[in-house]
Amino acid sequence: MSLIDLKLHEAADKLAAGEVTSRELCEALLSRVEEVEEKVGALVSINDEAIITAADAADARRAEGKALGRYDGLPITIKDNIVEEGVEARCSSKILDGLEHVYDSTVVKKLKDAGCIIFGRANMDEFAMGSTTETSQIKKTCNPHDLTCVPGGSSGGSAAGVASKEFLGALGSDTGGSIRQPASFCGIVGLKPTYGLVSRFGLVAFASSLDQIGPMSKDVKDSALILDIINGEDKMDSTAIPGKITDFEASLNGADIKGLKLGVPSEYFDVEGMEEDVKVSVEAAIDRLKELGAEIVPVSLPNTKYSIATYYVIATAEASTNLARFEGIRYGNRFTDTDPNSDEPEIMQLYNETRSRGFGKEVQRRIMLGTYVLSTYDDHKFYHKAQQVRTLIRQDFEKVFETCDLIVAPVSPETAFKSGESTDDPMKMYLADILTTSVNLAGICGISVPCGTDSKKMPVGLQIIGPALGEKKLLQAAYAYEQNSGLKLEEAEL
Amino acid sequence: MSQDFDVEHFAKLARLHLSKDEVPSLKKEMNDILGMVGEILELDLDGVEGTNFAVTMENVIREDEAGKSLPAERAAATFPDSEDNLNKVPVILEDND
Repeated sequence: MSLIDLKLHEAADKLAAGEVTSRELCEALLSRVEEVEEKVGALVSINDEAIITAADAADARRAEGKALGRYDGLPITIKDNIVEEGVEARCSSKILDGLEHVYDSTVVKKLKDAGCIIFGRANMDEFAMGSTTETSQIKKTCNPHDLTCVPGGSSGGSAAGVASKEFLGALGSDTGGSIRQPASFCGIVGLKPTYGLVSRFGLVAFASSLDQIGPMSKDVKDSALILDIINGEDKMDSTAIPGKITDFEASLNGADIKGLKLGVPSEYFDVEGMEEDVKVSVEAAIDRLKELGAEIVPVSLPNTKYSIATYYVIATAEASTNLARFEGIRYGNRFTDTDPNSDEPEIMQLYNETRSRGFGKEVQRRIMLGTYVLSTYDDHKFYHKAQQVRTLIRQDFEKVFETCDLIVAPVSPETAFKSGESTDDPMKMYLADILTTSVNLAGICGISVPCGTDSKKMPVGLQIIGPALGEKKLLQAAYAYEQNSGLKLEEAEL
Repeated sequence: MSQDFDVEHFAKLARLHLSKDEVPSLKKEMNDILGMVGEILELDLDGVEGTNFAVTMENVIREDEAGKSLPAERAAATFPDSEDNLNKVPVILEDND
């Protein structure tokens, strides 16, 4: 078994037992990156030298008996919208070219404090706006299971790199499904935590009331391990939930789902574009959960049909506000090709040039939609209505969780499709988010776990949804399923 | 939705410069998107309170303690253009303004 095949928890055990050093681990992964990155395109940047220096430091601490804990020396990759001091965080956009950040995000600080090594930055849809990673202005990412297919998005680089074994685990961010959907497309595990469980300080904001950082990993235990490190209150983020949980991984020991009530929402199986293979795989997974002792209960989330409209109003409104700061004045790229004969003042031309050339088309579309819904044009009626529907969507879940422990459903109506299929049709891309956006609108948690493949051998994900702060039960159910599914996904051949 | 999305107007508000060629296709895309999100306008939601944040938010207050701040030269290094740690920007007010 090669070191790149290790799970994070196995690597942690081996580091503790002195069977492997962090340097050996990182070197093995760096060779893997060297070998397959050209085909996969998971990373926007990686600093080999800094990684080896950090790995040597971790090894030295361990040799002296001063290891920072279980995670000391573990390499973890971060998505390109998570800020690290002294490193460019471009959000896969041209508008942030050359901006070296001056502080560590809270998640990066927590990783570093635990001794983890930041193993490169993963590609993403520009500013996390997209579901295929094709809106990245930096590079193309391919699905390791079929290089002609998309990896999903927006955390497509994080998902593809875990699936291609370029890194052991990664952080993604999920505003409307951006962790769960690429995890599903690439056959890995991805967890969107409850809003506020993980600090957003240093996550470049897309839609502040929906964004959440979460783990992407080879298995459920690794997601629990990463969540143990990154969760917790933060004085830099007033929306972070007070307290700190340290036993997500430990709580998986003896995980049992006997007697657990799992709700199956009919609305999640009847959506337009639902592929038969996805439905069959997910239904088989639900049957397996039943065999394992869970009680399956039909439930209804009647406002699911409004989730896309609601999501795109709220997310774009927040995005147009958040992205107003990128105007070429304060940081990032400045385009100054102004026209002296123009009627417009030079400063206005600079704003326009910078934003038109710095942002890609999808980001521009969303900024315009957000500007529209926030303008007085329609007396804010879109925005207020969306906030009201958000309440209905939240109440749908609250009602189900009065009688059920968790909800089980597909992650996406489809498996990974060919690159280029959705880029010309934004609507197709938006509609595919129907099964993931509600979880963000309600602020609850959801996980994607591999549950089979379609006829083209592309992975299918099972989504398990839990109430706010229901991560333990969520992870336990996901773990019990994973350990007993009898499923062995074929590894991506590269 | 019969309403036509005024691409040029909202591009201007959003500080985006569009080329003439992209206006028609963008108009169509924005109309499609508006048509899709427009379905929520039909709903009768009288008496439903809106949700800003999905979880209950309380104001967080901390002691007013002085801490270290970023050195000026490090902050200035993030400016697109700077001189003596000051952010250099185009003229905003002319002499005669």
